[in-house]
Amino acid sequence: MATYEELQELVITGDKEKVPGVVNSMLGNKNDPMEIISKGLIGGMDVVGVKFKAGDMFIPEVMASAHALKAGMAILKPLIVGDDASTSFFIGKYVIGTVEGDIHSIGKSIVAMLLEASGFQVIDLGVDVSIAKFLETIKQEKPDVVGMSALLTPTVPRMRDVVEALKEAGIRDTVKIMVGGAPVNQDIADSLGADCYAPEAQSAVEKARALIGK
Amino acid sequence: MATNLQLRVLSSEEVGNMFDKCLHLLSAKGVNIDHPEALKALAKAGVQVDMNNRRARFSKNIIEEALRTVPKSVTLGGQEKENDFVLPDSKGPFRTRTGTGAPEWIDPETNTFQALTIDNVAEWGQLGAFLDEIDTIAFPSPQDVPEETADIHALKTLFENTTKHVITQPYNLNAVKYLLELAVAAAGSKEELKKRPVMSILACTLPPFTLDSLHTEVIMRATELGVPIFPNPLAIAGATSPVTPAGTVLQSSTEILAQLVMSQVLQPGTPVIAQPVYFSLDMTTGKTLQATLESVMGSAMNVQFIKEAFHIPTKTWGFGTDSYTLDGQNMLDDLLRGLLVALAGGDLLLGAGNVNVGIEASPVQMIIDNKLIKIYKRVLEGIKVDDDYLAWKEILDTEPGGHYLELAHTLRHCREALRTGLSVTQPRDTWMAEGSKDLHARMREEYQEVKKQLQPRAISEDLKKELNNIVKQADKDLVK
Repeated sequence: MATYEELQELVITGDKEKVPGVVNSMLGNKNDPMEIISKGLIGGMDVVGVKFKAGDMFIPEVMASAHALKAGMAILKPLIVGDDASTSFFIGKYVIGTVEGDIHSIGKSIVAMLLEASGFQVIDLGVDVSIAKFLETIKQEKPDVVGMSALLTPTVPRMRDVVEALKEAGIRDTVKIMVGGAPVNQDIADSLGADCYAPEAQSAVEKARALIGK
Repeated sequence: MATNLQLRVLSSEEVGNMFDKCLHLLSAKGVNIDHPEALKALAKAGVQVDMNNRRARFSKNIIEEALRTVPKSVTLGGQEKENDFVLPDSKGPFRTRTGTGAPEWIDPETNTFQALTIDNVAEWGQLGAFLDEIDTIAFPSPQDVPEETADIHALKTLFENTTKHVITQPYNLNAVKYLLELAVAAAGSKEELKKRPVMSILACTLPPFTLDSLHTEVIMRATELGVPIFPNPLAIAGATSPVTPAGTVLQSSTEILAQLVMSQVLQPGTPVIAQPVYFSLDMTTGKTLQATLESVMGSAMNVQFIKEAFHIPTKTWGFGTDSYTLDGQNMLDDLLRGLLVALAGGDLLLGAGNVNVGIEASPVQMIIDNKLIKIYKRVLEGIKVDDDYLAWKEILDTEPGGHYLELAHTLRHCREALRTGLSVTQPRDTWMAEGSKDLHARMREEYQEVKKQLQPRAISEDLKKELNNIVKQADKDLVK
């Protein structure tokens, strides 16, 4: 029977085809589903996180690992019952979008995928997201972090508009704001009223975890 | 003679194979066009359009007709007529353009990054006008004017401060109309602008296979005026285009062809200069890079492919670095790219003065790039080989142990070696006595001398007033 180390290795190598077989054989052996998740699947992703931070794993490889983890979770999540059912497998909730007037998505999408791979529940609002949509989603979803992206210099001020809208609604202190995109830098992020600036995808994940103390 | 050096990355067979794939992609897959007016116009002209999904597919016949009508040479007019030129250029191997769009300025005094101002835009235009190897100017992004009309303020400022052709990259949909009005004013009339375009304009794509509303609006309005267009796919290899260089070149070339065909369907004979640029996604950080080796070789490949398959002039980065400052990495990135794309046959090399993937504009870097251009041009000239240059007689006549220093041959040719001022030639003791200055320190000093000679362009009061009125109207209409 496969060991947890072997299951971790399948996650690390991104072998989503083999993960279900191993998970099912562990279940057949009466292994506890929560233990399979924490020691096998998440154990593997923790190694992925360390290797990614060190530059030893590349973004597509991290995404393959995330898919392998999802393949295992698809089998195990429905089996979690009782007190364990209220356990969130997510380390935090993150709402992300490209601001109004800007339709560039790839940087934002890469950040979203990496955040998901690192354990966040990600709500991706897409592109050209209005201030009203950001506000409505933040009120509804109560995320830990909101990330805003822009590529076009003229659209960067929309980030300030979202921050101001949160202040007016009296909920600015309930959420951390992260901003990023080519025309943004630390000085601009400070002037926008953001809590955090992420210059690229790798640092976005690290900084998001730091913002929520994980 | 060992002249006219060339770099061919692709074989003729590979060019043919890729061209066939471009045709297949445009006819079978097509592109999304986020502009209902454009889709209707294309449908009316016989292009297969799915209005619900905003998809246009171009048949082989329509593509071939467009490649027939698109001009094979393009005139770009200077603000002063003496700076007009034609691409491909019969007078030299290539022309050049400054960087565009940078929102930050590297201050030469303090070497720090600052928010770019409208005064920096004016200096950018004046510096481009002053430097002998810079042929066209594009505006960086001023941060001290209303963001809604920043493009418009910047373009007006360039028309007031440069004598050369201006290339515009718009960042704001609502600005397009006013940018073209400024161009008409600068040319004198719509007819003059069409005959001798003093401004040309970029139309970017949103890879993969999407033409967004802003840049489709550019094509729609520019074709009405006969303003030359630069189809400009912004592929990021590994993210919005295939990770392999050949795949990115294929996708970008297909997007360029889509925009070329659109321009010809709307207005046959619209001048088009292809502008493939090649970003790469760094696979460890997710940062977008512009100076990887794959990017440089991919750019050279793309230039060659467009020239041999579409037979139109090409424009791509000849300069550009992932470094955040002026340093050795910057020089490495610029030199490798400039040489390879020039050898591949790029007609217009862009990006002079830009640093950090185009985020930072540096007047000192523009001065350096101006000198690098001389190196690229000299490389392309090759080496002359004839009896005089072989020094045949001189070698025959010089005895063992002799020298060549006082020969008429040496006197005749001694000033032909390129001296750009980039390299030190003094002994080390002299160099140390003069302050041990490295290349960048010496170039910052040269910038101080150049700056004293910069001046705005002398334009008529009528033109000044007309340009101001257009900007005032734009501010009134667009600024919230």
